[in-house]
Amino acid sequence: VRKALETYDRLLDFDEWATHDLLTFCAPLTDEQLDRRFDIGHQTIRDTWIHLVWNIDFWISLMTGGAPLEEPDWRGISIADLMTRYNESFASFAALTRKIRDEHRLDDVFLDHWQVKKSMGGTILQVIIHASEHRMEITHMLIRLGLENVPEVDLGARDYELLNC
Amino acid sequence: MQIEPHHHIRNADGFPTPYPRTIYHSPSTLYSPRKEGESMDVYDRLLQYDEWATHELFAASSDLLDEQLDREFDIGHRTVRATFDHLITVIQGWMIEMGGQPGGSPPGGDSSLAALRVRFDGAHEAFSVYVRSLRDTDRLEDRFADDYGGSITQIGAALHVLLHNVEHRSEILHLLQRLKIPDVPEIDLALWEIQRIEATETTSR
Repeated sequence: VRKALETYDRLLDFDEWATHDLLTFCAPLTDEQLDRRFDIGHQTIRDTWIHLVWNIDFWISLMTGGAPLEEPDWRGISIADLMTRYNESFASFAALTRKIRDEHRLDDVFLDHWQVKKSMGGTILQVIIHASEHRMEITHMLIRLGLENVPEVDLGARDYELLNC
Repeated sequence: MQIEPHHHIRNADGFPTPYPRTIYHSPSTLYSPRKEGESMDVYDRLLQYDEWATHELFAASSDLLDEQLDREFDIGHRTVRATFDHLITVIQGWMIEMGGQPGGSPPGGDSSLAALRVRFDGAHEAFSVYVRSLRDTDRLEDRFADDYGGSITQIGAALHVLLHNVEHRSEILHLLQRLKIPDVPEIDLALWEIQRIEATETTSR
């Protein structure tokens, strides 16, 4: 149990740190940059952020017995407002993760929106890895916008920072 | 429910869309009790998912021509082949840093996709064995010196490798999309878990 405790805490810490780092980098972007279309994933930086933040609430709802949530219409939402919404969603997700872990319910199974079985532990990891995939998508769009010093937000860098800085 | 391979939904432009949202079920049917023996450690989940997702991408790339494997784009490691090679090299490199023995042939050899897959399998197997040995001997919190003169934990390095793979698989997916390859797979952990649970139940019947 101790190993699992530390691992989930680490993953949550990293996920929040990496998302904050990248959201902060996006704060000065113009609306044109946030909405410029690319030929990958969710196509714009703003839409990718909306999808990433919404996805957290989507899985929280299913894991707690709620209905599947519709993807919201947040057209034009600012990065500052996304940060606020992310902080609220992530705080709920982190609290739920730690509760499930502490109650030894990581292997409990629920039916998702397709009525397919999912485990709590697997779904927690799904949310964290899903965020990592879409942060990479945003990183690529930032590079293709020609921006310099796009942050590298990998877990090794976070561990190094925690231990050495 | 029968899950089709790569069963993502696509919009008119061919990009994956969020899951369908029309299915709703009563909260009272949501939970089923855990069965004895179902427990799965977080590392086993991550390692098995990592292998599955990377294999899915190798399969999706298997029909690419050399020209497609080596076509340069303006992100990351530029080409599909170089990104696969980097992903494997990083697993092997971190194994050395962590004090383990890297599996698979060393970088710089045959770079055909088939050879890269064999090399990945060797590297991933050695990495999986090593991470499980760290877990089973309570050494995940041990520290080692890194290239920058600081220290890093074994657990930090192990998770870094696994998430590094996530990032570069995401990069390969983007390259495949930009190559306009049809049916680029969706490789979420949730999809792997559907297959895992179904396989577990089939076995236990």
